[in-house]
Order: sequence, then C-alpha cells, then structure tokens
Amino acid sequence: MELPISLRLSIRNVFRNRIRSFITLSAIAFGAISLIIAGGFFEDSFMQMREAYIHSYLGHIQVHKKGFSDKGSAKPFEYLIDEPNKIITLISSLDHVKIATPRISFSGLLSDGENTISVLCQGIAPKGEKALNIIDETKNENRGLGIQAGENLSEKDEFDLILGKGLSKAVESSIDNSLVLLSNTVDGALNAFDLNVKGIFFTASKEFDDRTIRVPISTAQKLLRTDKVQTLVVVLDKTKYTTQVKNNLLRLLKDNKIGLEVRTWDEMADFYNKTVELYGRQFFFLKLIISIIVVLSIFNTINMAIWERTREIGTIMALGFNRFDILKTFLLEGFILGTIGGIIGIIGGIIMAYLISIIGIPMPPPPGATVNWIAMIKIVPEILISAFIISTLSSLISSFYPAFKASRMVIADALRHI
Amino acid sequence: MDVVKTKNLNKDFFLGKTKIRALIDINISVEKGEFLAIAGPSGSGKTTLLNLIGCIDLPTSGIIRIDSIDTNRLSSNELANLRASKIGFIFQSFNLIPVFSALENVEYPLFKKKKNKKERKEIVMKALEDVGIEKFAKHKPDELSGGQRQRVAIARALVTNPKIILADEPTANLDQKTGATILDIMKKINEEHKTVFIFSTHDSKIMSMANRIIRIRDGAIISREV
Ligand SMILES: Nc1ncnc2c1ncn2[C@@H]1O[C@H](COP(=O)(O)OP(=O)(O)O)[C@@H](O)[C@H]1O
Ligand SMILES: [Mg+2]
Repeated sequence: MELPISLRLSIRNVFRNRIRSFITLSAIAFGAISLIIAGGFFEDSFMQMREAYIHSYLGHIQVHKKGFSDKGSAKPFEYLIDEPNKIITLISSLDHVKIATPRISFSGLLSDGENTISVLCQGIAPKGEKALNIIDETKNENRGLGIQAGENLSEKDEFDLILGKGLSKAVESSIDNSLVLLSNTVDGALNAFDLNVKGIFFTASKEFDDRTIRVPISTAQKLLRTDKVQTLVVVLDKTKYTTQVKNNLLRLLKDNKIGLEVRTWDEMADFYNKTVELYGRQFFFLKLIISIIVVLSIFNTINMAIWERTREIGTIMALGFNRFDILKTFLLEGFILGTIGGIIGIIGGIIMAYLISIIGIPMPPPPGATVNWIAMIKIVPEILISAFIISTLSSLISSFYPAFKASRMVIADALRHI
Repeated sequence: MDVVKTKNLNKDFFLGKTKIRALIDINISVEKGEFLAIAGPSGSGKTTLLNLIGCIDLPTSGIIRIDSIDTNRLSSNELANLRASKIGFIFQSFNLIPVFSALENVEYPLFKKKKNKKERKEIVMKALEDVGIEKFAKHKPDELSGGQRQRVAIARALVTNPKIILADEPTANLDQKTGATILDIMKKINEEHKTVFIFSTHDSKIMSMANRIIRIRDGAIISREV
C-alpha cells in the first residue's frame, strides 16, 4: 500500500529536520504525559478519598425518617425510624446491597471521674460496621475505621465503648478503664451507664476522631430508652451502583408507603465535593498551560519550516497547486506532529503511570484527616483521550497562522527567496 | 493563433519610494511550436517577463493572453488551474522537492489531475524516459548531479503535457557541455510534442539554438531576430 502523495510529502517533511522534530515531539509528548500523570493522580486521590469516606463512616446510602435532614439536628429523637428490622429486610432485598446497618447518634457527657467532656455518641451494630469498613473483600482491605489500641466492638459486647484517637487524649482512657456516659433519654430524663474502654479507633477524618465514641446499638437504645433507630446505613458491592440503588429504594419505599428520606454519599460528603471541584479547576489550568506549550512549540516549528521552504512553496504553486493546497499541506504537517506526539505521550504516560503506581507516592494526610496514604496514578480512558485531543487540536490550531501566511505568499517573491 | 500574446505589458517594482520599471511596454506573440530565447544581461527583466507569462506574478498594466485566455480576469485559483493545465516551469536552480524521489517529483503535478494510478505511473515513466533519466527514478535530488536534476525538472514540466514550457536560465547552474545537452533535450521535446519553449539566457551559445531571439535591456525589447 502506497500512501497518497500529499501525505507522503507531509510525513517526510515532518522528519526532514530530525532534531527540530524530536524537540517538538518531545514537547508535545511531555505535555500529554504530564496530563495523564496529573489527571491519573487526581483521579486516584479522588477515588481513595471517596472510598475512605464511604467505608469509614458514610456508607453508600443513608436512610432516615422524613424531615430528619431539615430538623433532625435540633430534635433528633423526634425523627427516629420505627420497626427498623422490617425496613432492613426490605432494603436488603435490593440488588447490589451488601448490608443495611442501624445507627443511633446522640450527644452525651463522658467522664473519667476527673474530667468530663461532651461527646458525640454513636450506637452501632458491630457486625454491620465491620462490613462497611471492608473496602474490598478479596483483598480484605480495610480503608475505613482502624484500631490503634485495644479491640473493635464485637457482637457480644454490651457495656463497652471505643473512642476516637483525638478524644482518647482528653480523658483517662487506657484499655479496660471504666468511663461514665451520661445522656438524656428520648423522654428527656437523665440516664447514665458505666462503660468499659475496649479500644481506640481512627478514621480518615480528624474531626470525627476528636469527638466521637461508639457503643453497641442495644446499649445505646437502653440508655435512651427506645427500640427505634435513627439511621440505616446501606453498603453496596460497588460505589458506581449508588444512584441506581437509590432510585430502586425510593420506588420500593413508595410502593410500601413508608415515609423515609434517602441520601447518597455524595450528597453528604461536602468536603469531598469541594475538593474535587478545587482539583478539577487546577486540572483545567494544567490543561491550559500544556495546550499553550504545545501551541508555541508547533507554531515555532511550522513557522521555521515555512521560512526554510519558501522557495519550495513558490515552486509548488507554480506547478499549479493553489493556496488552499498549501494551507492543507502545512496544517497536515502540524496535525501529523500533534498526532505522533500525542501517541508517544499516551504510550509514555501509560508506562509512567504504571511504573509510578508500582512504587507508589507516599502522601501526608489530607486536610482534616489523620492517616498517611499511598497515591497511585489511575489510567483513565477519558484522560488519555483528552490528552490526545489536546495534542492534535492545539497542533492543528497553532499551525493555522503560519500555514495561512505560507498560502498568501506572492509566488514570484517566494521563488526569488534564497 | 498565438499561444502567448502580450500587449503593452508593464511591471513596476517599488523599493521603498523608488519605482523600478522592470518591464516597459512589452508586446510579444508566440506561435505554436516555437523555440524562443529571451536574451539580455542580468537585471534586464527576463525573469520578470517569464513570471508574468507564467501567471505567477501580476503585471502593473497590460494584457497577457495564454492560449487565447485573457489572464487579467482570472482569480488566483483559476490562475493555478491554468498553470496546472497549460504551463510547465524549469528553473535555474532546478527547484526539485528534496524529500521526493525523481519519480515522485515528476508525479507530483499530476496529483491535481484525476488520473488513475496505473495511467499516472505510465505517463511518469514515459516523461523520465524522454529526458533519459529513468534509471534514476528512485533517487532523491541530492543523489543526482546538476544535469540529472535539470532533466528531472524537465520531465516534471513535461508530464502534464502543457502548451508552454517556461525555462528561466535553465543552464546557468550547469557547465557548458551539460547545458548544451539540456538544450538538446528541450529542443527534441519541442519538435516531438510541438510544445512552445520560452527560455531566458545570457549565454550566446545557448541563444543560438533558438529559432527566434528576443533581446531585452532595462525592461524594453531592443531587437527581434529569427
Ligand atoms: N521583487 C522585486 N522587488 C524589487 N525589484 C525587483 C523585484 N524583482 C525584480 N526586481 C528588479 O527588476 C529588474 C528586473 O529583474 P529580473 O527580472 O530579475 O532580471 P533578470 O532576470 O533579467 O536578471 C531588476 O532591476 C530587479 O532588481
Ligand atoms: Mg533572472
């Protein structure tokens, strides 16, 4: 197969000045690689952050009594879910649902006899929370709540608590020490339990670790004198099914005439959304900068090529080629440079992303969090495509002006050019 | 009927505010089959005249008719088409495209004409044979001598079967003997195809091979010899 002669001309001209083409291609490839690495890094960070939020605390979906999100914080005990077990069974019947686990949260006072401190107390089902914390069953990877000392709550526990890392510094909380938890019951009376410190936990959120304790939900219900729950946390097998399950759940609740509100993790993870938006904007500027690099290097290359080939341009036009043919020839050269540079960039980017991910980049805790993490470079098809499009498109755009200039030359003058 | 006719052709150039009258009231008629020399010293206006006849530059005033077509009325694209179909060019410094082989250089002008590949290859090989360079078809210009390059250039001018071939000092970059050979090839093509050749030169030996000589000096015709 022989290429059309115009394509042959452009391809050979692209490689005519090897060093210059090499530098131009390097600039384009460098740009594409930077985009792929930076984009892949952001994407991996988002994913890790998202999964950390979901699996440490939020779950994929939370179900509350209708009105809870508006008025629940003022009057938490007025928005409790009746017959939680019936609803758990209903939710568990949906596809992709791994588990639905109940919680009840309330504020209380925690005392070691000397110090008393106000805390957020979560009554939880240990089995359900454990399932929530496991991010990937095959790897048994736990990106959620970790135990720094002692043990996590288990199903047999009754008058036990675990407390957050930050909080453990404020009260005397060595393991097996006894602390007093004081709270109002749902009817407004006072109630207090002696609880045994079973462990100290940490999550990705410093704020959470600084003020939260956890007790078995049955203990919490006894303390509050209720058999209702506040929240049902739903865990799915994959994050990407969240919207689908939410819609199915809403339909199911409507069919059964149950007045509950359903919120997904992204509706609750405000910090995550703001971070994604911020980095998204940074990524946009990175794209812009890289486009400018590509535009300038291609512009320079094509401009120099046109200067050097002025007499050739005159000759070609004398042979009967018109201005549009000249324009096409140089646009094609820019496009070929962009395409080759883009392809090298994508291949280079994938290899680099892969190598960096093998090694991993150790990262400090994100703002508001407590744990270090290992960043990797995710290979995202959309980013590969956009890196390629940026390479080719900015090459095409930047060759336009020099190519247009070439096509406007006075033939006789071009032929006199040395 | 004249293949080329000019009427009161003038061309001025401006260098800053100085006006250079490169051609002054040039009237020439060239008939079918002519082998015409434009003679004159350097700076006399030979290149300018050939550029105007070749429709690669525009006159300041006057009329140029190519094959009875009044070129004044044509757009830049129409002029390109006219060049592609009726005019061939041979340059002093050959002006081959360096990234193309001899064969591709000759094939390139045919790109504008919708001929199929087989037909095109035949025409190209025929043109290369006409100038005796078929053995070097695969060679790049920088692998060829000056004389060989000018042969490729003649084949390139010839391949579209034009009415007129314009050659601006085609032998100026060649030695005497090679120059004479190039002229012989041009003459042979002129006789076989009845293609009009208009070539410029300041070499009297080369001039003498023409069947008509127009002498110009300072942009004006000073004599016409047969
Ligand atoms: N583009 C141009 N700008 C200014 N002057 C020009 C230009 N082209 C040619 N000339 C002038 O026109 C005159 C004729 O030039 P030219 O046609 O090249 O002569 P020749 O080919 O006989 O040597 C010369 O004086 C030359 O300097
Ligand atoms: Mg000249």
